[in-house]
Amino acid sequence: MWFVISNRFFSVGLILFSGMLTSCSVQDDIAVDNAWIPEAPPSVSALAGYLDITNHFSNTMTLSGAESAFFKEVVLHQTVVDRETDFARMIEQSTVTIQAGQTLKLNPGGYHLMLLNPRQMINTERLIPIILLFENGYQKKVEFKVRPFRLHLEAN
Amino acid sequence: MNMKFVVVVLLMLLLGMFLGMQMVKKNDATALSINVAPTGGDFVLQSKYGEFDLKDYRGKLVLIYFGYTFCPDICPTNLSHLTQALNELNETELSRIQPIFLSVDPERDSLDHLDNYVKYFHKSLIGVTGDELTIATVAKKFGAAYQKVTGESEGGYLIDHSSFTYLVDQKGQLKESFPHASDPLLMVKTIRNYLNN
Ligand SMILES: [Cu+2]
Repeated sequence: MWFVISNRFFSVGLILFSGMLTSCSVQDDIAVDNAWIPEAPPSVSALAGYLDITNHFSNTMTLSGAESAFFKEVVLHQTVVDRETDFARMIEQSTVTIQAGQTLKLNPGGYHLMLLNPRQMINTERLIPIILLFENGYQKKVEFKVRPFRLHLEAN
Repeated sequence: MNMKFVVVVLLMLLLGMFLGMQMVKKNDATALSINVAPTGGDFVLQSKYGEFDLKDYRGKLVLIYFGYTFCPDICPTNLSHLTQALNELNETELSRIQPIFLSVDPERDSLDHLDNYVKYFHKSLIGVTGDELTIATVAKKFGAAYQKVTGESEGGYLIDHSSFTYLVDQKGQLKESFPHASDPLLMVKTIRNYLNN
C-alpha cells in the first residue's frame, strides 16, 4: 500500500517536472527554422548548412561556431560577392551577433555553416544534427534536412 | 644653405620611396582585378573523356563556369541556376549547347571527381581542368579572376573566384557573362536568342 502511494506521488512529481521543462523551452530561446543542407555527390568534401536563427532572448546573442559528429570541422563563413566584378570571396567569421528579437538568415550567397570532411554519408534519407555554439555557452541542437538545391530555387 | 639642400634631397627621396611603395601596392591589386574587356578564345583542357578542345565545339553554344568542387556555396548556387536554365530547354536545343565547369583547383579536383560532381547537376555538363599555367591563361582570356586563400581552418585552402557564367557563341566568340545567381529564365531567353541566330 505504502509502495503504491509513493509511486503515485512520484508520478505526479514527474509530470510537474516535465511540465516545468516544457514551459522553459517554450519561453526564451533561440528558434531555428528552415535548416537544410544542399544535397551533393558523396565525394564532395565541403558542404554548406543554411538556416534562420531567431533570437528570442532579451539580450544580444553571439553565434561563435558550430559542431557536429557528422563533420570533421564546422566553420562560420560569409560569402561576399563584389557587385561590380562578380568576384566571390568566402570569409571566415569568428562570431556573428544576433540582436534581441532579430533573425539571422544563413542563405546561399551569404552566411553559411561550412561543413568540412563528412564522416558519414550525407543524404536525403537522414537528418543531420549540428550544434550551434554561442559565446555565452548557450547551445542549440539543430537537425538539418538534406535536399536538392533545385527545391530551394523553386521555393524562391 | 648646404644643410637645407641635403634636407630637401632627403625629403624628396623619402617621398619617392613612399610613392614607389604605393605603386607597388597598386600593381598587386591590379594583378588580382578583372580584365575589363575580356575577349575569350580557344583553349585545350582535360576532361574524364579525354582532351577538351574548345575548337571542336564550333557550331555549338558553350557555357563556361569557373569554380572548384570544394566550394559549397557559390558554385552549387550558380550550377543550380545553370541547371534550371538547361532544364527549360528541349532535347534539340540541348544538343546544340555544351555547358562546362572549369575547375581552377586541379590539385584537389581529379577528373573522375569532377565528372561525378558536375553530373550531379546536369547530365550534359562536362568538368574540365588542366595544369595551373593553362588554367591561368584561360582565365585571363575570359576575364575570370581567382585567388587561393589559406584559411585558419584545417579544412584546407579556399579559392576566391569570379562567379560569371560565360557564353561563347557558335563561332567561338565570348558574347555574354551572366553574373552570380542570374535568373534562370533570363539565361534561357539569352541562350535561345543565340540558338536562333
Ligand atoms: Cu564556405
